[in-house]
Amino acid sequence: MKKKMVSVLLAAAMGATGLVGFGSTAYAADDVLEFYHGYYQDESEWAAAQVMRDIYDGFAEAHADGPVTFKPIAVENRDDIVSAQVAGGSFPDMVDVGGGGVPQAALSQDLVYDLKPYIDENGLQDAVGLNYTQHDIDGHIYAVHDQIESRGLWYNSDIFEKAGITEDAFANWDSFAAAMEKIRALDEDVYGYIAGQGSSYIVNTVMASTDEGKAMLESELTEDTINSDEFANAFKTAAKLDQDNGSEHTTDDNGNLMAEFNTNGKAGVLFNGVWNASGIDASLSDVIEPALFPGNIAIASAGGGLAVANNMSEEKTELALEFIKYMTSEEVQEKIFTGVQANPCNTTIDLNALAENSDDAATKKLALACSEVNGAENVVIDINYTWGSDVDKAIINALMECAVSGTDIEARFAALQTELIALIA
Amino acid sequence: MENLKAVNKRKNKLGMRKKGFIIAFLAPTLIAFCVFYLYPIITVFVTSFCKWDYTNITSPEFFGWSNLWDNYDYIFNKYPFFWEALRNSTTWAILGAVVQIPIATLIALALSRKVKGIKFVRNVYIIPNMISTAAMGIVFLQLYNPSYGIINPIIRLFHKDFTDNILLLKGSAFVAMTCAYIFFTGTTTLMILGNIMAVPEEVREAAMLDGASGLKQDWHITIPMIKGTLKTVSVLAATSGFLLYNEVYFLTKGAAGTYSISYIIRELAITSPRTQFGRANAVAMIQILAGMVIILVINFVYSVSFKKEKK
Repeated sequence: MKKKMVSVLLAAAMGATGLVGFGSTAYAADDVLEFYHGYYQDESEWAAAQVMRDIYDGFAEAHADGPVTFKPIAVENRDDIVSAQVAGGSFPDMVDVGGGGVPQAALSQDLVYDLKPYIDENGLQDAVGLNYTQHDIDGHIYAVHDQIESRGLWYNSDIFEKAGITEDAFANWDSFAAAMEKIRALDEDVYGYIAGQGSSYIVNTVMASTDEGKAMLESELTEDTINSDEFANAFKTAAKLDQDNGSEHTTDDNGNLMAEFNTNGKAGVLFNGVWNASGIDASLSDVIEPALFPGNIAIASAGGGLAVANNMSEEKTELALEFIKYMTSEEVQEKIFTGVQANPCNTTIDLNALAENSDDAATKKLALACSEVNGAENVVIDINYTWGSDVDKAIINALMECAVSGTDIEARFAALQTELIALIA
Repeated sequence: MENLKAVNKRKNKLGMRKKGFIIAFLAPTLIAFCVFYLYPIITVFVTSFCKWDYTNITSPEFFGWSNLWDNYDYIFNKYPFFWEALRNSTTWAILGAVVQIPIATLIALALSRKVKGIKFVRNVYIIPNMISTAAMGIVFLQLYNPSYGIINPIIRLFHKDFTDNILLLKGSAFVAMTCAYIFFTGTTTLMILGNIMAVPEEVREAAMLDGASGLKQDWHITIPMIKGTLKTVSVLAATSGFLLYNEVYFLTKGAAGTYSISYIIRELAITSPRTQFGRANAVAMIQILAGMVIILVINFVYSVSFKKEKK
């Protein structure tokens, strides 16, 4: 009898668990707006993450009494969550898709809300800044990034001075190559620049130096582009610079060698975003300066950004749109500049004025870097966003292999062309 | 007569009950197998003949009989990294069986000796196996770092002017990646060691009386007696070599000719903004078939070699 009782109880428990499992749904409740973001790091690890979380919590508190609860969720595997949901035909209520951008698979299924009508109706064009043009897909805007991924280069003026290099080094890539040669000639434990991931920005900006090349960068990668002189010239320029620089200073992730520039002062140049201002060690803050890529070129990309699911309830959609307005507002954008140390998307913010009022050396340096990028003669998008991350990675891998002494750059470029043609097939 | 009928009836009833129990106990496993193994494999197989990418992510579209092999044609004839990945993964599978297992067996034989301090050595030896392959990948990334790693200074003892990053040198990168996993044989060693310990002591004693030395005992008695385990661990080592992923991801991301089959599946399905599930599944199908071939080959090699031994 006892055994039977236990069996019945076990069966009931299993059944109930099953029902609960099957009954739960991937969608959030109608009165909760779930917002996934990637600022999960502890304050001690990355203070900017806490600033962003505080900004989100501020919005949640301000709307605590509304019909819909705003629920920010910090996750480390945000991209996996989005991919999994999109593969299943759904999209998170709201997500900061970050660097990966809104997946094409989500757009093709019409899972993402078009933000353009809201931006236009509310006159938010200046508030969303570069997003308005760069994220425009056939008259639709599916994401608004509250920060602009602005990239230039950072150089160590102390090393430059010792090597007798003037700012003319950034006139073009030939003068840059000559400057790197002078650094290598120094009888010290220093080298030119951190190559690999950074070298893809050389390709990016060499291509942007001609109108034809820039047009190719701003559209999808085609076979014509792969076989073009512009692309060949850009790749070979970067590859030659990398080979002279040496493969020991090459990495597919800048983060692996960043300390050699920001902390140890061993590298002359680092190709990185304006946000590098906050990573500079205090001992080097007087000697590390921002500059544009040779030829007065900057890379600025709206990147990913805040994306909202389509077909949510009216109340939830309204709150999501309100959140986008909040994130691009002057008040929040100023916090993003001073607290997160990033280039805000809102074009009405006077960054220099904010920097003047700040005692923080990093904020002043950030303002300088942002001003340089925002005032560049030629601003171009990152190829990662237009040509795709797989293409970008194939280019980086090819460049890294070319950095090894004796590598036949012509042959590797020919192999890369074949790879890229196959990748876009 | 009536009694016999009643007995038969009872037997039948008991038999049915027994069958019922067997089915009831097997059912969860069978259901789990069908849901979590069979169904995905069938799905992978079917969708490898479908157009399935970002344009139709929730509704794979059958190519039709005339274009049935489109995904395979792309993978075999156009995708630039497939043959390199297949060659590398197959080599890692072979190295797993040919290098890793002899190393593990030798270590297990050494650890089976009753020497002072052997328990401590055994425990120390297993520690690296508790570290995830991802963490080991990062550790090796530091070891191979040309600026502060320990490998480049060692190379410079023989090649004075060497400054390159060995993870970017074709050939060397493959060797470096192989070294990052092949010597970590703790689990395999323990499995072999467990089996060695199970060899009856009387058999060894008899061999000793016949004048067989320690090495001869190992070669003629211990190893033949643990051949079942050796076959199993060989299959495990070869398949894990064939499925290598973390090392590629952390050390080279496929640069310098180090793509693996698992890595290109990720490239097609995740890294590519075109989310090429159909093509990724075509590679996965090839991976499944190749895995089966590996198992068959190892079984064949073991049966042939031990048959010779018997003769």
